[in-house]
Amino acid sequence: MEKLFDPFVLLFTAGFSVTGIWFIYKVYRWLAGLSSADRSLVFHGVFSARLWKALIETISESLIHRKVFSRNPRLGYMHMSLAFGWFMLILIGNIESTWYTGDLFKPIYVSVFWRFFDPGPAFPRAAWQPGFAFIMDLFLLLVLSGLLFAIVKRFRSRLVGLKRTTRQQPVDRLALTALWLIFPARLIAESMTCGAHGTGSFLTGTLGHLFSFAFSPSPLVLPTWWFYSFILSSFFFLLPFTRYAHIPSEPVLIFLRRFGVRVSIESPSFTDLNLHACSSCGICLDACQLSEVMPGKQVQSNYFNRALRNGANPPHQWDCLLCGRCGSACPVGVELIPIRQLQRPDTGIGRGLQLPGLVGKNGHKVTILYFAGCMTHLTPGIISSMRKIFDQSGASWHFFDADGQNCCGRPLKLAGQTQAASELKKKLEQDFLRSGAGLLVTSCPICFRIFNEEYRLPGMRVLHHSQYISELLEWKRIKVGPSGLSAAYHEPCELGRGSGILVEPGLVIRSLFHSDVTPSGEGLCCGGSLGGVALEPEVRKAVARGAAEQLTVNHPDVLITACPLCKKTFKPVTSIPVQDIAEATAHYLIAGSSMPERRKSTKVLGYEINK
Amino acid sequence: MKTKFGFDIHDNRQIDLDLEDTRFADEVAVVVKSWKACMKCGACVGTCPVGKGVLNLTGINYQPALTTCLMCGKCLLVCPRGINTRHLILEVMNKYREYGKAV
Repeated sequence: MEKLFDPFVLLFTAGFSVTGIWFIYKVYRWLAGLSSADRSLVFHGVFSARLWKALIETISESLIHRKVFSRNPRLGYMHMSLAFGWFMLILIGNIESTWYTGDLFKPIYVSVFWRFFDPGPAFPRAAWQPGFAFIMDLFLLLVLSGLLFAIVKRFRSRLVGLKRTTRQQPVDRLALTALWLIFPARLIAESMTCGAHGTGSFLTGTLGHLFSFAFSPSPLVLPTWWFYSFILSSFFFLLPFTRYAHIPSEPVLIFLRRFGVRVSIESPSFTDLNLHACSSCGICLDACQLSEVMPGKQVQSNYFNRALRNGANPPHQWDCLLCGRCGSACPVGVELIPIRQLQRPDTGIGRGLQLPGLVGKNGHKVTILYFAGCMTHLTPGIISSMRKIFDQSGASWHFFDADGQNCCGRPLKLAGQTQAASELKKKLEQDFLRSGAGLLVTSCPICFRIFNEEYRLPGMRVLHHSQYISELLEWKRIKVGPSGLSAAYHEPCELGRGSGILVEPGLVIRSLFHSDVTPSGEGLCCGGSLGGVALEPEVRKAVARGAAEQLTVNHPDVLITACPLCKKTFKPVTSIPVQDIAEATAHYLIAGSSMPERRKSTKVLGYEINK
Repeated sequence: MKTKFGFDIHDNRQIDLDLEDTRFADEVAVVVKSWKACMKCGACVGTCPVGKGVLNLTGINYQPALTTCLMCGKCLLVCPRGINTRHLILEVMNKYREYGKAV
């Protein structure tokens, strides 16, 4: 070990510096662009247990790719072997070079090209002996096996569990080629060195040995290392401008997310970080139902993110139904839906509204407010069913939007009109609180979500009617008879995935039907979502038809949903009757099951008047 | 930029084609193609939660009221002609903004 330098290392060093300088600049920008509230979250997060949780998540997601594994083991193996294998090559290469040089602060290229400087122990004695050479060969083999999967995925994506794979832009293809060449180039370079020195372990040693049988490897040693350095350098030159920017960005995202930072209009740099952390892996393509009905159109989130990252206008921005299936499938946890929503401009619709207000029921205070929602007024069967259920349970309730002239504000928000939505929110909050009710029941998951997430209603519980019915059943305030029928459940996006209400609808349906319905949070999009604005009704219908086919694959007697919009959307596309969960409950109610003597009490079900 | 859809109707119910200016309507129809299918049945106006006259897409002087739209999409659900009314309203507002004529 005379001198640890050769001119070929300069190529790598130049490329790596580009990536390094870019990354330091970006991290500074990401942190500097946070709002002061978010910055203090980060500051406090660094000195808390969240730091360690973030570290564990970084290892399990950025290196092991646990979430991808749970989706498809072969796809998980591909991602894991490349990420974890490469990481271990870097880590162990570093330990090996430090071990022999005794210098912790040597230039990076020393450990990257260590085998060139130190060919290692003699072959074949070292081939099956545990040692640095053996471990390094083992991980190189892991990476190469992953590379094989990656190549298969490019041409036959179904074999690794993806129906579709991302259509790459030219610069990404270039970087992809460089990435694919890195590991074979390393194998050849190391094998040449090992062949020339008669050293190496089972992979590089054997290959080097074979080389030395065929030709003299010595003159080829330097050119192969030059090639390896060139390939590494090209990859690192390209990294900042391609999807591979996700490699350094993803851990930063994991840490900031663990500290509690979320996508918001106040912290635009966090959106930028999310966009860079998107690896364009293509898992969102299969999650998106529009892939089926709009083939070839780049509606999905990976294309959306890429366009935003390139500073272009995102394609099909108003076509997306915001159902959130991509967001819950995303293994990186990029906040796809909030990012999309922020891109919808506020055009000033809905400002300065004068909505009819409400004060109690003839000035009397009530315990329960019922907010049907504007969609429910188009499907009055749900309202009359809720009337029946409320009366049967003996609750003192008031129909808040009996005139059908109120709106929760979420449709405005989905259309980008955030200012008007917040005006509306303030107005409704006041009206709700003035009624003095302790419980707000709504029939519409769209309303439920915004009431639950954004409204400030101290002392007032917000329930979707499926939750309310489930509580009534649990406390035996109402009784239902078994229908003897089978049912399938369509999980509304805003209720299941959006608000996490999964248990209660399942309980209600299981008490009515003999089907074992367990909502999973992975429900389909019915196609009627208000998130979609530009999507023409025919396309919506195609989405609905596809979803209905999947839902009724077991030929249930009835299709149950918990959203007036889903009910309306499914009705024309399936021959199986579609019912709301409230309608089904009301239909199989057993009369006289409630306790009439408590009917006049203001304390019903423990919901007291909120003073 | 005149902002009228279609023609004007006098009190004596005579159609006045002198006042017809469909340029704006045509421009909007480039984006929202289904708008051309409107047969002026009034279902959208009838179902609108904000009140009568807000969604008067069929006639004249609709624009000041449009700004109070809630984007709830009920008009979209009731339209017998399958017109994407929500997109239409948003597009009209976008066009206004473009021309610096926000109401």
